Amino acid sequence: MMLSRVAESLFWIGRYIERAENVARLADVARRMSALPREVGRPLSNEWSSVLIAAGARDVFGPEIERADAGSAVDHLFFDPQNPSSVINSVTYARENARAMRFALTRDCWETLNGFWSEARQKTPADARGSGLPDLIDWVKAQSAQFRGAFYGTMVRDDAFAFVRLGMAIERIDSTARLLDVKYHVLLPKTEDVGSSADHYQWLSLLQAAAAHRAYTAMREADVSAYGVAEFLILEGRFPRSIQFNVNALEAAVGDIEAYYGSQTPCHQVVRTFASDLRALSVDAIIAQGLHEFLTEVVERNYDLANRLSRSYGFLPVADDPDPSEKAQ
Amino acid sequence: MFDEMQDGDDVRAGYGDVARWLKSVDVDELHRRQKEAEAIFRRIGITFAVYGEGGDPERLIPFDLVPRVFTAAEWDRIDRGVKQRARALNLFIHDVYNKGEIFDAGVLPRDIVAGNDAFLPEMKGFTPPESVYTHVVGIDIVRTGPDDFYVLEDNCRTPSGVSYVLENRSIMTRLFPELFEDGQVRPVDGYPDLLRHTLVEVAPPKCEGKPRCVVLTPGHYNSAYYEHSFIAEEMGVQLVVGSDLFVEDGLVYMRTTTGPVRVDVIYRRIDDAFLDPKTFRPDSTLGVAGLMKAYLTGGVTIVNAPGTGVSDDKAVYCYMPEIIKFYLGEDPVLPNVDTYRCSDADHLAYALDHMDELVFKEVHGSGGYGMLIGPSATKDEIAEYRARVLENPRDFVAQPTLSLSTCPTLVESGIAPRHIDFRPFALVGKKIRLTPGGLTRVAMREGSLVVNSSQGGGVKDTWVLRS
Repeated sequence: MMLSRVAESLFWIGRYIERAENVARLADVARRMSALPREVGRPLSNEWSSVLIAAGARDVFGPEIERADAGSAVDHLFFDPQNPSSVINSVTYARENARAMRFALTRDCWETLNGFWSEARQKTPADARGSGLPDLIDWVKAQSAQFRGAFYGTMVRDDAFAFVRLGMAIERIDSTARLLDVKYHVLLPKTEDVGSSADHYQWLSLLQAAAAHRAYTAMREADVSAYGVAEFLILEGRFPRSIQFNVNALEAAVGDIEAYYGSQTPCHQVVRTFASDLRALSVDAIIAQGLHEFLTEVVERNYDLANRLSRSYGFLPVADDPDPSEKAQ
Repeated sequence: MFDEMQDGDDVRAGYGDVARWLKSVDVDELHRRQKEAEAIFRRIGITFAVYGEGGDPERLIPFDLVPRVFTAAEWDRIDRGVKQRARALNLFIHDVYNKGEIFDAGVLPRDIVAGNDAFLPEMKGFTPPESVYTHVVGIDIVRTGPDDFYVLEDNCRTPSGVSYVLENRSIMTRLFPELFEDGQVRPVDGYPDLLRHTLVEVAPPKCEGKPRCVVLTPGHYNSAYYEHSFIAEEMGVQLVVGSDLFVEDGLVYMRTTTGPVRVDVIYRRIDDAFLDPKTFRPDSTLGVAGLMKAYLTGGVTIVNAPGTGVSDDKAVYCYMPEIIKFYLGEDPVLPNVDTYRCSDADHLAYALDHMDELVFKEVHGSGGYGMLIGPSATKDEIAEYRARVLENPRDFVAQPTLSLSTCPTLVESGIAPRHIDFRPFALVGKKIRLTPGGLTRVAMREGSLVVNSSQGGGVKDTWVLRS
């Protein structure tokens, strides 16, 4: 048993920490893609605007999003106080949630998070200029890894642990789906591009940003291809940033909660269906459906699941029940 | 001026170890240790939140490494004095909300509580479990000479600072373990257990089985939030905000991942006005709708009780010797500071004639705000304050400027004397318990008498010696 508010905070700490890292990884995709050679006479594709679109920033930027450059995109993704998903905001929210239920996390977790936040407060857009950007990205990844280390290394495997894991998995599903979708926005499929070097390097950048390049080549022993990367990042159950891996993680976490509480909620079945549907899919079926369409569906399904979890464990504010004894008067 | 450690060239009883230590250690080393302590406080998040003033919203209370020491004999007197006061305060509050015998006897004017904003008519005729109103009492004590201890203020609502008592000790034993090797310093870390025992003892009549206690905080933007979370954690109980709780059929529940769970005792750290939007401020989002009704019908115990503020303003403070005498038939173990009530014509005339010597305080004020320290005030400040007093004399009291004792303190230039005060925390349940120690606050500026953390004061570890 734990306070619903505490469970919710734990869930969001998991999400925000992952989000900070994933936004940094998104920026890494654009950084890598924008360093690729361009073919003469072809319009430049704008990696930064694609990443912003994938990050859901179209509303904030408006039509300007097509002209976004590294400077404006990095400001938005890392620093913009108006962007609720910026790295700095994510870290601040994660730390605020932890502070609001200070002792539901171990001291190691809290101190790592508090340290992440106090360093984040010192960062400025100037730190992200030029060669500062890869350093900034590495710093976010290292801090997030440190939190995960403290989390897996010191937390008791109880409901608190499960709620953080749920948040982490939900966020990673969302982010891997969005990461893959960047490619859709960068380059609408044109036949002449398929198998061209630009296409190849873009898929490669994507794998690198997902920390999946070595895993991919080692496990697939194959060249990087659209088909291969999509299959790997969606369906490879052994790769920790794939969608399948994280849906399995959700299934395991709700299973732990069920074992812990001795009861299940309606969302348990929803998670299990999500996981088994995915396991039954082939990459051919995904491509046939359309990659973009499939990814959009995953993002929506994931969102719906997060809402169901919130309702099941009382995260959402419950309307105050009028005092029945007073109603009678 | 009385120094806690030095009596001329001699070191006072109790300070032998501290004096030897200060002699043997290098000041630069102490400064390094001080920084180390601050880094630890910062990392753990022991901060004091100040929002809306600009600058860093989470500040550290300056921690001074040099401890303040009580001998066993000195502590014995404080222990008796504080417990006596806690007993009398609870009897007084009960009387105020019930028969009012002290007013019938003419010891206190009736309007002293009737005109007090802290008086809650809802509490009339109600007696909480064990007849305890103020369960956690903070008594502010100052010292001016070897045997001259005075009570400066009684804090009966939600006194704060106890987390520093524990954390200051924890950091001292971490940085300077050698100082504690001889086992002379009495431990303070029993406080959370004593508090939990106290809460359990005042479980409400409708409680079934083992009482479930919670700490109710206004939330993590509150300046004392760290303390709230620390106390909950140390007691092993849930830290809740108002929206975690709801009332149904006169009982209080918290919302959990496994459904509603009954709550019996609420150690609240929110003010009376915010407790229950149905009874008090309707715009309060910090409280719980229907809480007062549940309380008054025995469904839950609120600690400290609502309405205890009637006993801790400065108008009532003036009468504490009479209050102790009336209920206990005893003389106060710890005397009051002489206090001039500006509501009294003679007192007012004297006070206004001696403004440059006296300290003026607002009757309902706290935290060191709204004070005038005559000896250090300018002519203009005095004139301005005089106008305020004349406009509403009932709202002010005046006291002689006490020469607060000093204690060696680490400052920029080395070790120097700085003024201190002291707040022990008494816990009142079926019996009264006092942890051997408390919060020593220190005015970090040379000559300053203002020790409040909101005014830049710092804190020290406080030692009570076994012998």
